[in-house]
Amino acid sequence: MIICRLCIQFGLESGENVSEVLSHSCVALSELSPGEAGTLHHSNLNGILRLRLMDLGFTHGALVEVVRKGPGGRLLAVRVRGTVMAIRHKDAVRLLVSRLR
Amino acid sequence: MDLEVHNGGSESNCSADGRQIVVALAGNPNVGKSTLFNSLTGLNQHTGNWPGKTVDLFYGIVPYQGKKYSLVDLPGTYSLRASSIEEQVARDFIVNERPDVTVCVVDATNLERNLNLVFQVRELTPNCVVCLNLIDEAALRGIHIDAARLEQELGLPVVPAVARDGTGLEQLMRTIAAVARKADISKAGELGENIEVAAESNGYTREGEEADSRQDVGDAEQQIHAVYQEASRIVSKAVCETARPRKDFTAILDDIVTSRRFGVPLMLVLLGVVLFITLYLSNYVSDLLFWLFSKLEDYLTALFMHLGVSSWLHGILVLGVYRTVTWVAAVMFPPMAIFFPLFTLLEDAGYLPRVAFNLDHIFQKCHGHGKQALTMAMGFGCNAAGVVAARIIESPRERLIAILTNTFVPCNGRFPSLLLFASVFYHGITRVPQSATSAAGHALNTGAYTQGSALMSAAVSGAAVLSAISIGVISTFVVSYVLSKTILKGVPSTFIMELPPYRKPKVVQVIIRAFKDRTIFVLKRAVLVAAPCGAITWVLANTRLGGQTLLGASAAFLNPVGQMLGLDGVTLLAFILGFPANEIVIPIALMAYLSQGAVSQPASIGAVQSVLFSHGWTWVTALSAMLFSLLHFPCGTTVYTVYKETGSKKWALLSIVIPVGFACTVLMLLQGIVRVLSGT
Repeated sequence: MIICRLCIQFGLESGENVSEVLSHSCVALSELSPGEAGTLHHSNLNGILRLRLMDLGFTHGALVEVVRKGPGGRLLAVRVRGTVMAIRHKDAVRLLVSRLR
Repeated sequence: MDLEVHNGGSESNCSADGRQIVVALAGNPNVGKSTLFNSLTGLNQHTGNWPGKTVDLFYGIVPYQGKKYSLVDLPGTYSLRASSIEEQVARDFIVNERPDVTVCVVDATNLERNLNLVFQVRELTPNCVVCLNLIDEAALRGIHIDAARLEQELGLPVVPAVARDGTGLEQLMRTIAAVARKADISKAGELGENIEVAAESNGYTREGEEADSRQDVGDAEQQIHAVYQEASRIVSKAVCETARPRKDFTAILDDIVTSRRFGVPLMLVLLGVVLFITLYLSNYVSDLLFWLFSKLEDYLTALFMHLGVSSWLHGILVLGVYRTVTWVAAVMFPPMAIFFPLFTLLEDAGYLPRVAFNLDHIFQKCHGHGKQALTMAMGFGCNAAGVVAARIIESPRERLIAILTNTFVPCNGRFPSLLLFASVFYHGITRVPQSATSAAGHALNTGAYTQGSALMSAAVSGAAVLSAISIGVISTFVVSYVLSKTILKGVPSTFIMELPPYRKPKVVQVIIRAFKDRTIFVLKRAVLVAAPCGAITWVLANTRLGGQTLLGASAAFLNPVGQMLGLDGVTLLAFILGFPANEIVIPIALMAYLSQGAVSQPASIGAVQSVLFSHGWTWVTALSAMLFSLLHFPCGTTVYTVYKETGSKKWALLSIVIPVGFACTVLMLLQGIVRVLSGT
């Protein structure tokens, strides 16, 4: 589990205690197993891909669901706004989501 | 795909005086935009090269209520932010060509994401119609859209439609006509001028992609965020979704198609079937074409005789240009007319992105893109088409890698020569003692070859094709890796790919479109390159200098280089003169060996083999020739296409230099290994 630095920072700044902060902290999209979903929190990507993903609907608060993983686990099929998009594991590591239970 | 002039442009400019109304079709990929275009225009389609564009667009004329509407099919894009070529083309068309009406085709099953593009188009032009396509599919999935509400929210006319069966198309045309009338009136108020201003102020400029200052990126992000918030607000008002079935057809099929166990085998079987059908059927059609063209040549010759034209003019035009061009056409046309429609059917059904999905992890290791697998598969049909297909790769670096390495996939034009070299290689190994000791020459050898078992030669052909493909694929990986680490190091790279739902392909439309878009396109370019080369080859073979033809002299001159590579001067010269099309390499080599004045079709494979053996070929020569054919520079058509696709002479030149360097290295290594093994 990757703990989102921004979550901790905002949480602590707004006076939450450590356990509260950790309870709603994010995981990388790549950490979700097929069938799991989350809301997109923020993206640590930069360059063209960052804008491109946003253009395709990967915006703050969007519901994302991991549909399946590709061979070798190097690719993720993610459903976002009704479409299934394949993104690479190394990029998915930089997309942080709050897991939906 | 007109090469010469921008003839499409003149038509687009007719709109101003009201004779022809230009309607642009914009939309995301996989929303049935092309189906809509085909349903509206029928067979009345053309391709035009619009002013200032390197990319050709389809347009078709639709007569409606006494007026002519010129429909332009823009490339499918998710956005107009111009981060890929297709987006740039779509955006530039709306901004520069100022269509009278722009129709946004949206997918009713997936409205929220599609609205992003609608908003962007709405910012560029007020004359916009939304076509809500695939409402039948949406209804099946329990999605109901209140079109009136959507119209009200968007402030744009919305027409629900099913492009596949024609539902709603009449209303769409009526709406387009109404918007065009309105646009015509308001055009007097200089509305057109505002488009460019709007475009600049919204950052949808070509330079927009390079705007890497944090401020601009931040602005763009806020904009996208706002757009999606608005989109989901509208969707929540206008769309009513009942519970979805747990698993739809696409998911079930994907469980098999993308599974670890069946994914890759299924792909290999499909590719094998497509290649087999292509190679098998095209033989018959090729023979028929050869027969037709040679009949026609007899008539042409008779005509030239009748007119009393000098023999050298007849030589250049008929034996040189005509024979080479028809040769290329006869060998090239049938496989492409069969391969491209089959391939396009798989594409239309939605299968190809799954191939990219299954193979991406391999391409990741050599820094390529999963979609490179698709451009490679296309390369089996024709490398030029493979280079064009690289447009589907939005990431600049991986796109260049796919373009520059496509020649390592053996195209249809090289399969016959690869098969011939393979059988020479096989007979070279098995018949060594006999042919070395026997001074009897051709007759004996020819006899020996024809006696060889048919089963064995079929096995050899099969093995040759497989090993050629494997060597080609391995070379692609190696060169891709090296390229991404060297000359392409700084070029940006991204990966994102949609896995669209499977759909039943519209067979007739697909076949017609594949034929026009790919087969005719490639053939036209090939003929343009083949014609001058045919003339040059004829002149070389028929100009004598001191008792030797220029062809013989050039071969002798190239001999030292050829020997170094394990070939000989004639073979190397044949590869060079075969630049217009790989199909004519062997005919040219035979012409040079036999000192004939023009290319002619050999009687049988056995006859070709005895000619080669009697000119000193061994199994090493055959293997070297096979490798060189597989790895050498792409044909003229492909190089020209690289130039057109990249818009840069540098990449066109590199598309020659890189394979040549690689091929020479491999061949010299082979020479070294052979020398060490044979102990000389």
